[in-house]
Amino acid sequence: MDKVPRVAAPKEAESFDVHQLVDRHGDRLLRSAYLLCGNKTEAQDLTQETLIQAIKSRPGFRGESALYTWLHGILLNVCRRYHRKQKRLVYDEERVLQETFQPNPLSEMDQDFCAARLTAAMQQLSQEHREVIICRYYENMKIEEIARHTEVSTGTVKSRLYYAVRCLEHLIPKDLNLFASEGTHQKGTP
Amino acid sequence: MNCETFNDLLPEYLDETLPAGEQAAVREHVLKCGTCQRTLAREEASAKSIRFSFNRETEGLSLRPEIRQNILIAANQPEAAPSIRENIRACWASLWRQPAWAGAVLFCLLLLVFGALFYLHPAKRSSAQASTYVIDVPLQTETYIYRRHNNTVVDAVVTGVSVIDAKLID
Repeated sequence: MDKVPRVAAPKEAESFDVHQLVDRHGDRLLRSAYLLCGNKTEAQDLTQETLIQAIKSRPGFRGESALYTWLHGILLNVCRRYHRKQKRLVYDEERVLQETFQPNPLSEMDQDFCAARLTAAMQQLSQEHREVIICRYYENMKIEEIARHTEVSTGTVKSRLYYAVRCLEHLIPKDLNLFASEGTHQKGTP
Repeated sequence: MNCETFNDLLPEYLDETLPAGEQAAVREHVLKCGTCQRTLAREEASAKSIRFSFNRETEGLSLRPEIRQNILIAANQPEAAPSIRENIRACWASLWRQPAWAGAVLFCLLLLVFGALFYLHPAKRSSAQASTYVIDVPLQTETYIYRRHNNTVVDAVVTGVSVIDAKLID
């Protein structure tokens, strides 16, 4: 079993009802897992493993951080283990092509395509860089929170973040205009 | 404040976690420096784009009913007693979370290693063996004695003689 993440800033303890846990945090964890692994089926399994592990290590949660932060810490550990296993597997290119993103060519140049390209590009980053990007831009954590969450220094978080964003800029075709000053969100978005 | 410091402090500036003085200094620098204005604008735009794309890509994703079911079934299952291996692993992990205990274990291990090295040290071992030889070496030893005549061995005898005697005979 993965280690229970050390928790950070003291906050009020939340109740630990299994139904509530799944209803309140299940989908959000699933979405984070999907961005981390880039595969919807795997993301479901990873979320299931995370929640089962959280329920089993219930005594490890001392209410010192938000419940979701604690759950997300477990998810990161589960995903790290998943990626270690993936590295050991023989790379089945055909399977990967089928299961990872296949953006619909009809929706080229639109926001869905950009979003799919970005998530696909994320899979080319290392696990550490992916974690920092997701914590920062999906979980909206501050630098200090990411440092506590991933147990590295703030300097390391900043350098990983800088490197990861530059890599994404390099990986996303320039004509998609994702990293231009206007950004995708500006294009016809309400 | 120069541009290098600005770049270093930019993430904390955006988080608004810098001390008030530094936050104000960064703001002042941005107002004066066109390059840093562009850097800030680019950083904010990238962040917005990435956030927007992530939200768009994941919207509508939800846990499948069978996954929910599996989680609820697992939650209701009685917890199996941890195996010996798991217990050892848990003890080991909890040990390393306490630096004092970890230090004590390391000290004991080092003590054992140095003790073993000292006990098996060659100098010590050879001195012990040397003292044994001094006591056990016999004065008389088996020696092959022969007589020669015109380069031919006439007769020979194996006998217990002292080393000095053997040399004399030879």
